Amino acid sequence: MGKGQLESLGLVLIVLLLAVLLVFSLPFLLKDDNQKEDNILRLKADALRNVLLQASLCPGVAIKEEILNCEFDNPRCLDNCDQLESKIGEMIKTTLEPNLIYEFRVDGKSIIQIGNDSCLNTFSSASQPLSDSSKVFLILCEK
Amino acid sequence: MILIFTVIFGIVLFGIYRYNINSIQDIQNDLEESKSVSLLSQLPMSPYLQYSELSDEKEMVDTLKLLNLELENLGFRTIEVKQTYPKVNDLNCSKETYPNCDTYGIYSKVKASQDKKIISIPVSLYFPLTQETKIGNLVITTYG
Repeated sequence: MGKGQLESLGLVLIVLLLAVLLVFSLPFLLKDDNQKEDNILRLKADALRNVLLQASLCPGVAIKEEILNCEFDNPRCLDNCDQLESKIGEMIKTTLEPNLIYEFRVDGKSIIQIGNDSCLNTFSSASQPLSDSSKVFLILCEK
Repeated sequence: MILIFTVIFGIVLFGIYRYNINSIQDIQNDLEESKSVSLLSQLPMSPYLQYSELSDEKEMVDTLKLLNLELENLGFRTIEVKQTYPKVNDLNCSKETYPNCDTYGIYSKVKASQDKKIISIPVSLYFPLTQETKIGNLVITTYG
């Protein structure tokens, strides 16, 4: 085998090697597992905020209405407005997976804050206005 | 020299073949998972599940619809709605057990496979007879 032929064979081997490396590395380059998990968490945060506000606290009164009632310290289902936080907290705990950290917050006349988002990579629901002065936020993240 | 090269080339080709088979399986699993995520966001708003009142569609799942619902052709997965708040009896829901039950099975095609992934999303459960709204999870298990 002449020198020229050996060089050609070497070149072919290098090209083959590069092609093989590319085939093996493509799935790793294209794969983005975290993105899917992140999308589910975002979806979950929005859904949970809606679900909580719509849930019935007593016949004819949803959590949303009771939050507004508590702005004027006039609860219809509960003895006092302090109980509202624990009720909402209980609802969230029974619905969410244990590996998720949450923070439910109502900014307004009566500020409600349940849970604590003590992790860096958080996913917030879109805020939902309840009245002119109050908005509801829900933040989720994985432990 | 040529024999050694052919053997090495053959081994590499076999490796690529095996690797590609596994990759195709992974891609198929990924597609099935993506389909489950899509179902998770679309199902609660589908007319099969959604509660509506005089054509006013609410963002709630009608539990009476769940009792008679059997979805079809959704691949190897199970779909169920589970009431989480308030807690009720750990029972499958049927006309006999409703509403004192917690699990509504709406689709089931199980594959004997170790590889399964569970995803869920909170949903509002509306009970038309008592006009109450409770909390549940739509749970989709995808089999790989």
